[in-house]
Amino acid sequence: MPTWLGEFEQLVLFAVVQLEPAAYGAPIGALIEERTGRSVSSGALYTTLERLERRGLVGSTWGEPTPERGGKRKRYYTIRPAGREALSRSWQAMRALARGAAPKLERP
Amino acid sequence: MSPPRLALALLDRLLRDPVREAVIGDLSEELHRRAARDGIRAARRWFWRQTLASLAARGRARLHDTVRTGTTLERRTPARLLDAFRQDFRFTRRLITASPVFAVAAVLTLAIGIGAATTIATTVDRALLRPLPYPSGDRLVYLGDPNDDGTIGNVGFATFVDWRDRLKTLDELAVTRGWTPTLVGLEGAQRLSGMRVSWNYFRMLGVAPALGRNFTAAEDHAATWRVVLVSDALWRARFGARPEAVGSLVDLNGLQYRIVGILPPSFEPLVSEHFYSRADIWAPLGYELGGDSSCRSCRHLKAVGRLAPGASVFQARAELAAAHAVLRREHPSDYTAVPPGLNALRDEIGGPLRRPLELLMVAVAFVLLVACANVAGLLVARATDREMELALRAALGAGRGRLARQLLTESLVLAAAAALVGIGVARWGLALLAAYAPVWVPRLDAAAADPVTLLIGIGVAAAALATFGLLPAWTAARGDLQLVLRQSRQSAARRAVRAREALMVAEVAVALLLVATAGLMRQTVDRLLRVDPGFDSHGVIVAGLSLVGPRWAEDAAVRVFQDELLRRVVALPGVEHAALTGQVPLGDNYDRQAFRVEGRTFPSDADVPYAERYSVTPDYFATMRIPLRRGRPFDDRDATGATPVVLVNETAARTLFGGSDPIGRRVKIGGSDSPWRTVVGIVGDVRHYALDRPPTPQFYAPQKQLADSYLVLVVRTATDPAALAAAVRRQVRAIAGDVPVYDVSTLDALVEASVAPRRFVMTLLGLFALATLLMAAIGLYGVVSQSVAARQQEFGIRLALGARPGDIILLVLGRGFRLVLAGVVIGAAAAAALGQAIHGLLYDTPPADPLALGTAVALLLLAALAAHLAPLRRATAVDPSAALRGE
Repeated sequence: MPTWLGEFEQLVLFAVVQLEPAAYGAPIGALIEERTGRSVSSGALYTTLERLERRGLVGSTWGEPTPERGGKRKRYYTIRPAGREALSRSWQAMRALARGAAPKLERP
Repeated sequence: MSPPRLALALLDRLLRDPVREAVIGDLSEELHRRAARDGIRAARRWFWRQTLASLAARGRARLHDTVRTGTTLERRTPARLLDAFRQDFRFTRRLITASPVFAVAAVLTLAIGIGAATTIATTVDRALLRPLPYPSGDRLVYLGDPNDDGTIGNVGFATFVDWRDRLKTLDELAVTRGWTPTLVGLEGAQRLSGMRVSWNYFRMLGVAPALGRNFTAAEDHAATWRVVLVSDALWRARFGARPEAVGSLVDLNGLQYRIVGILPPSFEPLVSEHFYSRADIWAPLGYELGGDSSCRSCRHLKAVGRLAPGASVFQARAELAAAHAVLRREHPSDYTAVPPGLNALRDEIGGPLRRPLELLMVAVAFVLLVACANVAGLLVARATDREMELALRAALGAGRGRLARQLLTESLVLAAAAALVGIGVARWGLALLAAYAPVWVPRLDAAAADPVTLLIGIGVAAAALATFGLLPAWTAARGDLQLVLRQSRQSAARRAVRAREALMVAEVAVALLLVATAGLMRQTVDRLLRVDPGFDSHGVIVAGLSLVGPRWAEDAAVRVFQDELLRRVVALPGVEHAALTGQVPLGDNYDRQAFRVEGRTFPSDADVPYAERYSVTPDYFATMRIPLRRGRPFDDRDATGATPVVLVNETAARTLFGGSDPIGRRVKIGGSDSPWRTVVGIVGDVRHYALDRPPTPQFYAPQKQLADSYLVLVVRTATDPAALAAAVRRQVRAIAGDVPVYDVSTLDALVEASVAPRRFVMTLLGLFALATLLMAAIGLYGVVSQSVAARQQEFGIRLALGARPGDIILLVLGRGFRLVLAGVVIGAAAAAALGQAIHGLLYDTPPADPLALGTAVALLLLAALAAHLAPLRRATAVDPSAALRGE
């Protein structure tokens, strides 16, 4: 059975793909907020990232600490082949379903 | 630009390990960016929003996991479970080291409660619950003809023989009587405590001698009974623990007895003339039907039986009643209509201890409860400080079970520590009880701390602690995160104060209850000691003497000894008066005789009244200061061979002579074949059995006309009683080396001993009451302090608006004393009810004695006031501006 992604999972994965190889919590959250206008809590973000990692869709490694992080290390995420495939499938499905719907959504 | 410290601390404490670092790092980094873009205040607000939202999101995710998989991640493997427990304990240790005063206070409070409860529960177990320490202990019954007051009394030998032959529900029946032979050895004459028992006595108990053999049926006869069994203690003390002692001859009362066996060291002589008195030597009874002491109305034997297998006490009682009906038809003059009594021996022995022990049980239960309530108060107070933490942990998905487990772990650690200290308290308490208790509780000295009872104590403490300890967890787990986060610390404190206030009312009520009950016992002891015993106990020493054996068989020899002894004692320096008597009041002697007044007849011999018999030398009344009411005292006229005379006390004069003037009337003492004696005077009543028992009919005869072999020497002195006692001993030895001097004491000590059981209950109750009063005061102090702390801001506003310190004091006192008064009202009602339940222990003291209650209330109010002092000082010292700035 193919893997399907939830909506927020898709947003997170898109952000990771775009930010690689520098994808870690702060820029991921900032990118989502910037592009979608949606405020993302760090806790929710990591909950999703952990879940994606448990499902084998992303991988992670510890990075370097910086002064403005109060000496805390970054957690870098990379998308894995299964994640790439799942994101692409979900996105295709969404696009296929959305075809022709856009004009109707624009009416008040 | 650094993140808000509190938010950071929350994140650090509450997030799970793998993401904590990354989240905090990301938020800190983003904070910098936003501070530069939106300003510091906006950035900080953002950080707080992020913190709370993140924590909530993590919590939701955990909850989601739990719902979907039916398990949390942590619970999946035993290793993780173990890890969680380890985490609990680590957390607990951190909390305890963080607030050691709290931990020590909680542990000590609980330890006192557990220790006291364990001590008393162990005593109850030993005295009332356990079977007697014989193989057949749980099947032994005590039976006998009824006493006037309905208790089970003694039987005559002929009755015993009939019962033995007729009762089928008993497979063994034995009788015993007291025996106090004199053993003369190198150390001088010693009076031994012993018993004469029917030969099957030890077989019935299931006890075999450690050395030698038991008595045989053939030895239980008038001609053959001079054989003895000896206790392990006496064997070691007087026979050097030599095995050859068995089979050897020993000189008792001037006669030769053969030692046939030594009893095991563990044997406890629970059944003696008075239950529980010491016994070191046993001989067969040696009675035969038709003998001098064998008649049915010669009631001086204690009967103990063993239920046949399958027989119950009820069946035995019914069979005994039926047997009595038959015997009464056969011997109408020897039995009254009241059937004999039969009861489990254990209940009969433990009976007098039951009421006091029940009272003490109730008292320690309350001590334990107050201890638990106090610790609960401390826990609730502390939980206020931890409410944020608990609510957040709950929101993060730490399930109710997880939180409960954390708090349970803390409670268990406290309870375990308290139990350990409690064991020490109980060991100490049991040693004290064994040493100072005025009544002997079987095996108490060996009890130290009974593991079973101790477990109960620990269980009770842990259960109570867990209940109260879980309370904050429950609210936290249920509580709404947003609500907890929004509310101020002050409102949380206020809710905690309310919970503690409810506990406080209960504590005050219990403290008042115990203080008032201790007060009732104190009143009782005071009033008992104020009872006029009928004699003046100050400055009188008493000493027992036994003149037994062939040398003293003739009364003449006894009289020569008496005259010589009194002549020498009166000559001792400091002696005012000296006399000899067969028994003294409150001396634990029971010499009662049938008292037949000439011209009065009774339906049967069994209905003839009895009176205490005192055979005395003339100076007895001067020595005891018993007043002569009418007639004449004894004097030299009342010599051997002169007209026999008696004096009677006022109660006898009033009740036994059918309303006519006793003086000049003639009476017979004991059997109907005894000589007539003329009443020559009336003397004051004395209280013979106890200060709280009304005077019984009593009569006095001159020693010259009715000599005794067991005598009590009474000496009134103006000097040191101890020095005099030694001098008396020397005089006795100088006259007769084979007369032991024993039970040397003072009349004051006898009076004191008669109130000792109640005084002991009073002392213990007083200690428990003091402990609860102290705990209640400490608890009250804690509540008032917390309440004052929670109202700092309010007080500040009031002061700023012009309130004077006096107004603040009234505010605080008003709130505190509302609690105290509620507790006092409840406690007073409970005290009256408890007083009613224990009225049997009270003497001349109403259950709701105003003095006891009033004193208790006053004590409590004082303690409450003391508990308010420090918080009041803090309340009035509030700096209005500082209070207004806070929060």
